[in-house]
Amino acid sequence: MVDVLRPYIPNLLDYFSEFMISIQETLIMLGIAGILSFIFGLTLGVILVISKPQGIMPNRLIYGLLDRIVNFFRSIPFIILLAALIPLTRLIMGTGLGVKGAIFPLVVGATPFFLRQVDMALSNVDSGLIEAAQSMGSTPIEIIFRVLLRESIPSLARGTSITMISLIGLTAMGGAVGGGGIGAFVIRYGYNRFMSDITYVSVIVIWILVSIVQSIGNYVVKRTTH
Amino acid sequence: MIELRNVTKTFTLGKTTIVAIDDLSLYIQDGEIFGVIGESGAGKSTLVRCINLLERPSHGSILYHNVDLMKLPMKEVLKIRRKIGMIFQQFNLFTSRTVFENVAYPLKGQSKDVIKTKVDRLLKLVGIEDKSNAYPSQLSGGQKQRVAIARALANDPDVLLCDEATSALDPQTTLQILHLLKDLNKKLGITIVLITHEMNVIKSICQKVAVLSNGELVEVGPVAEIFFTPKHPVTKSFVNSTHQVDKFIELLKNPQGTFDIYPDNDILRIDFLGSETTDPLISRISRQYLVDANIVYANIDIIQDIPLGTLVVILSGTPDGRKSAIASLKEHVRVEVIPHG
Repeated sequence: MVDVLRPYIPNLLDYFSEFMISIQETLIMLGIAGILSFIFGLTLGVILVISKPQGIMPNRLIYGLLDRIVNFFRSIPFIILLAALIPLTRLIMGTGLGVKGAIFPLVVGATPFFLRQVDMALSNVDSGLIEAAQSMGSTPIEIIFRVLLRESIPSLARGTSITMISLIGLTAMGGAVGGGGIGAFVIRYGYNRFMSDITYVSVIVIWILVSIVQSIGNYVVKRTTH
Repeated sequence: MIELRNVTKTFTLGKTTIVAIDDLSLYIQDGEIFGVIGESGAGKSTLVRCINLLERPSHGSILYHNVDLMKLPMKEVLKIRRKIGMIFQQFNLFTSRTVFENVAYPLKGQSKDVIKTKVDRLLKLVGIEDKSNAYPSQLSGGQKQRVAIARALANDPDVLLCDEATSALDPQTTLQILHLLKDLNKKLGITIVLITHEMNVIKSICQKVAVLSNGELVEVGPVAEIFFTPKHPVTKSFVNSTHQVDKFIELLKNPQGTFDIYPDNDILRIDFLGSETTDPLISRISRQYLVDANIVYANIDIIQDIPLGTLVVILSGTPDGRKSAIASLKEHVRVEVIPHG
């Protein structure tokens, strides 16, 4: 098997164990950064939506602040954010390198993105449903969990898969500034040492990852849309 | 029992202030079906939302069983809202929940068995027990409103607020939903406050009606009375919307019209209420004063079991005969002599 493939992907086979480790690293970054961005994005997204002037707990200060911070972070290209965050990353994670050093900037990069997805999803919940819940004596907390979040599960699933896919892109970019994962692997060999077979196979691996995320997302959307 | 005392609600949009409800007082008795009618923008939706404080009035008091809701902390208001059900024009069912789960929504915290028994009973009450596991998107408008009614009744409220509850439904379904509401009012003794822009809705089920115009209460009273003697122009135009008599009189006065009206004819519009209907008035004056009474328009409405009739009559005969006939009619019914020619 290996001999059959050797003419096509010689370099990849030479660095195969490193390749497997890089995939593992990408999955770890995706997993941890994904979960953290989901939690922060969802929490802050809910706060943003309910604090809107027409929300269920309007608060001009919180809304204005959150809205501006989100826009600020979303306006920074990720590659610049990575560099700019290095001192802070070292402070929080202890290092600016490798998988560990990449997780913090990934969370900072993906959270505002997911937060906007949450914003969109929750804002699309028919205001009549909120009014109906209020007329039945629901508290704001009940409205958040039993109406806003529950009614927007399909759009949240859609937003989550979009965020995860863009996070896959971000993890690859992390490779440029000393991060780990498939991105770093491709830059090290495929780009710097012209081993193009490594680049192409990596593209296929990332495409497979994206497809899996998208399929899971589509499945959840399908199951929760009535 | 609900009482609104000097309720005012203003909205501020940028620099302009809009008065949605202007110093309005209203009294709604236990067990009655109370209609509020007004054109769009008259403030009726705001008014109904003031009753359960979905909109907080700028001034005034909302008394529910003699308790001023405006003075209660939010926690107490939430409790009272459970005793005031509400249904909406757009039904507002939770799309992610089945019919059963929608009706069970307000029952959270109770045991599964209790919820099951209660929801099944409610679905049966509104006649939709077979759709228990369906999602709202699979239902027709009338079915959705039935589910919404069941949900609104889940906490055994003593008031049901209906905000344009039939405005998104076709005429046939509207009638069915109105019948259901009337039925619930009878069976459960629930007070119903019904907001609408259609006089026919008021006519079919309400006992009392309040007419709203530009945030002000212009007329209030028993429906039959308001129909028989509308005073305010807005009320008159609503009442006229339910029959064609004004249009018919216009047609009658048109010289190129279908009817030949001679200068020595009188056109009479006769309105009568209740028992007056049973007297053979027309044939009596015809015999007594030797006049011919040509009935060219007749309509009878039944409002709250009271027949309410309108006739348009072309009267011909001697001037004295016509004069005495009109005077005689006026003793029994309301007569309006329509000028013509």
